[in-house]
Amino acid sequence: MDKSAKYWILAIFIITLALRLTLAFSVPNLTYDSYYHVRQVEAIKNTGLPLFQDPLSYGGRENVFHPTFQYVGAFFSLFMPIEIMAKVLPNIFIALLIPIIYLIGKKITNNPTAGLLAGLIAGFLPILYSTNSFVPSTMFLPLMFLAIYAFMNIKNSFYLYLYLLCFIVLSFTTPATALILIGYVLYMALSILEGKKINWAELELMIFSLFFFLWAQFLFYKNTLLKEGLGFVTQNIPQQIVERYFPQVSLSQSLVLVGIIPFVLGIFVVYRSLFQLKTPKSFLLISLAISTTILSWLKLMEYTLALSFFAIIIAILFASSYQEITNYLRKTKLSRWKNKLTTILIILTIITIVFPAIVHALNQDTPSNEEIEAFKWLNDHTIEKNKIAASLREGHLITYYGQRKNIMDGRFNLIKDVNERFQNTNAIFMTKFQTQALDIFDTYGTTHVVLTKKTKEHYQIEELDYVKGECFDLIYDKDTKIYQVKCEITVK
Amino acid sequence: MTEEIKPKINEQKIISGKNPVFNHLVHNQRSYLLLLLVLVLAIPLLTNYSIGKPIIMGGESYYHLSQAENAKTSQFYYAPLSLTLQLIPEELLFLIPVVLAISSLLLFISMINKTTISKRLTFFFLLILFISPPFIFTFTTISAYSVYLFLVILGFFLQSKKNEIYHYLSIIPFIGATFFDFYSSIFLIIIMVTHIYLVKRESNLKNYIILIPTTIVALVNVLFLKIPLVLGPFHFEQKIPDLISDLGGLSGINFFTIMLAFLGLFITWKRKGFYIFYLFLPIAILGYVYNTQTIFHLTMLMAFFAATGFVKIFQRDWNLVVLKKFTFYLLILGLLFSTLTYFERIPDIAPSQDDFEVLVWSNNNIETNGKVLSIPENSYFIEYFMKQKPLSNINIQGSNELSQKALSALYIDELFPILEDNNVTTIYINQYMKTELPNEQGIHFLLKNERFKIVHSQKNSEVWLFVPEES
Repeated sequence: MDKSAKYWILAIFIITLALRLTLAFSVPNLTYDSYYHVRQVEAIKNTGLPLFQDPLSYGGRENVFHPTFQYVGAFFSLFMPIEIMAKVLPNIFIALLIPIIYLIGKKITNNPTAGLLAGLIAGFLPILYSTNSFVPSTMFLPLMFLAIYAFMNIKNSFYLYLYLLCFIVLSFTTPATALILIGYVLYMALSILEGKKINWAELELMIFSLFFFLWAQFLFYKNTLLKEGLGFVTQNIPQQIVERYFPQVSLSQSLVLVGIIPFVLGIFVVYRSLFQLKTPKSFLLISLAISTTILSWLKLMEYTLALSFFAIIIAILFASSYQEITNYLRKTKLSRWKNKLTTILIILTIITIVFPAIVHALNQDTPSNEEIEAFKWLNDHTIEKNKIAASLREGHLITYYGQRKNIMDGRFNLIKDVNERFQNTNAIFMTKFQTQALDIFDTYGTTHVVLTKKTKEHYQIEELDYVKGECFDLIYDKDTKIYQVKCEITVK
Repeated sequence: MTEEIKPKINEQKIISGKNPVFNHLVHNQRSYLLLLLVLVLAIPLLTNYSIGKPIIMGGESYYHLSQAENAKTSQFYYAPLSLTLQLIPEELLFLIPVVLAISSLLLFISMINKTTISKRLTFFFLLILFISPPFIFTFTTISAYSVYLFLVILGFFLQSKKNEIYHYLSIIPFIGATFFDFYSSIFLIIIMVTHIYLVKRESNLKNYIILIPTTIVALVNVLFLKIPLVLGPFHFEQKIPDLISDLGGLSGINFFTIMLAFLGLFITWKRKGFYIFYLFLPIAILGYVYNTQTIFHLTMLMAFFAATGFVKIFQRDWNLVVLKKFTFYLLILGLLFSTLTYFERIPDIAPSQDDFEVLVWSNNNIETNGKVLSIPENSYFIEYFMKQKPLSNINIQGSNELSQKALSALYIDELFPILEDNNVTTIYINQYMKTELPNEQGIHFLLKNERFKIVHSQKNSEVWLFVPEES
């Protein structure tokens, strides 16, 4: 690494990390899904093992997942409180993307400035500014790009071992690692189409990666695969909310989240690489971008993760476009304006990504302190065998803060009646009929219902229509309300 | 400091002739493969025996056993099985597929030794094939394809003999192999044609004397004896899980085998001498899409391509030597992992001990001439153990809807007319139905009606009688 580039990268890393941490601590709490992982970290810290048999989720269920991220979290939580760790660690991981992207950018362009620009853009990509998310994808992204960088340098034994290490950790972090394998297949296809000679070392690594990944998935998800079959791939997500996980892509929104200028220039580079220059150096990255698009289009990959991955690749390809633009300007009469023009381009790029990034971070969907208090209250004022109903996304708050059983949360794998449960969870908040509500409460043994301000907004209700008479006691009455269910309907 | 990677020749010999262990295995493959075969076939049989299940499992077994017991004149091809049933006790029926498997292996190795096909490829082909669930399932059940494979191998074995009499004798097993289903006959005829024109490259009268009668008998079988295009299905088809055993199908191919087969196809694409095998791939895939019962043919082909891929991958020197051994063991581990997972699921394959007990009890204690309502998958068990007619038979198109309608009826007004019109007198419920059918509606709910009387139960298997309405 050039000495000056090293300082620049360090500076960008520090600035980005500082900004991310400032935003993370100014937005209260963590995103809803994060509490699931925080709970697993806590379990690992206390017992050494994750909750594969979760006694609280869905009232008790088998819950298998790759626990590497949670173990890393548990390790760091030995040195700081879990709440702090959950905000600091993911932001460090995402900030680490900067030096990695710099290295990849420099590798494909042989130009440190182009690499620096790619790193800078990666540091401010709006889609990556979910600063309060404690989720495995925050570890997955830097590791994945480190693996890609190592793959680009496999002739060197250090990078070979680095790749192996990264890939092994990735395989035990998330099944989304399949992305890189699909990318390899496309990479081979592109290389063959373009008449590039197959690099056997690369092919060997791909073969190893394929079988290791498969083995790692079978090791953990053997029962899930047997029980759910292909449902495993679609994560058993209820039909009614598939759109939320895989929304129709709004081009304008995606453009803002990826950054307009990097997006346009990235697409330009993809076009030039594939159809004009046929530069093999970019083939792998382009293949990964295509595989992300395909997986997202087939609704096999969560929208935010797909867009994050895509955005980072676009940031890397920005390095190529920067180099091409400067090379082009050098050949024209505008060559004396080259520095000024590129400076303007850089400033424009930064402006178009930094502002949306901050807005994205400030608009994160997190529970309020008042809501958290209500869920904590459950822990102190209900008994262990109680089962609590809340909206789907608040399911993890019941298990983490309330430490009580929920009816449903965002982990759908191996839940047999997931569609029915989702319909019933909605009906709890939407129905006007007390008998229907009591029937649902009977079905799941529900003892309490939590109605938060956000749930009211989500279902567009003011109150639960059926809460009248002697069947419900309002036992917590603030912005958030908690009702105790006192009646039963027994079907004879 | 970093170092450049250079291949080290002495570390490359995993499956080369320089590896003494591998050499020993390949040169004594007949013994080792026989041992493996006996082991993989013994595990499911012993599992069934140890948990008290009927040793022979799967709907197809009981379909053939029923057919053999009640064979009409037009089903003369069931005569060997009928005769076997009279000669050996029911408890020893499991020996039939095992003997067929062992004979097939010995004939195949004897035959293949006379060809130029490498021993290494044969070893891995048979290794991958033997640990594949469709092979294990076929050769631990009374199945048509176990006999078919044996007859085909026997035919080619006889043809490989120098003595002309053996050559002409091969017509017997080849013709015998056309009595199962038309799809298998087509497969056989294509194998014979490619063997004559592309392998032996001699289109003389001697070969036509075998090929033409076999083709004619295959056509006669389908036109006059109404042999089906594909035998079965004997379970509800699910295209993807039935293809990949790791996704919970009855007996699919290991996922690792499929991946290896793709690699094999990719690596050997357009390789001289391989185009014959590519010919069979579309036929096998089309057959599978038509009916998943043909997974057996696809498995054989996949095992071949997987073995080719395996040998090709590990035969060559790797640039990344560290990875070679690791990937090799990973693959072996992966293949075994899938097979072991399949073995774990053997106890779930019907009929269970409870099915057996309840159905046999019904046969001994219930005297009715009516039909039995159950899920179509149970139809062959009902026919064989209970000696009664099921309302629906999974093998008869359109008959399943009636059972489906009866089992999911919400009101007795819907259910009773179906039962009365079709002379249903008995209802058989088993563990699978208890778990899969809803409790608060459908048949489980309607059985609370006074016209249904439970007459026998064993754990989650039950027999109910449908009592006629008092006039």
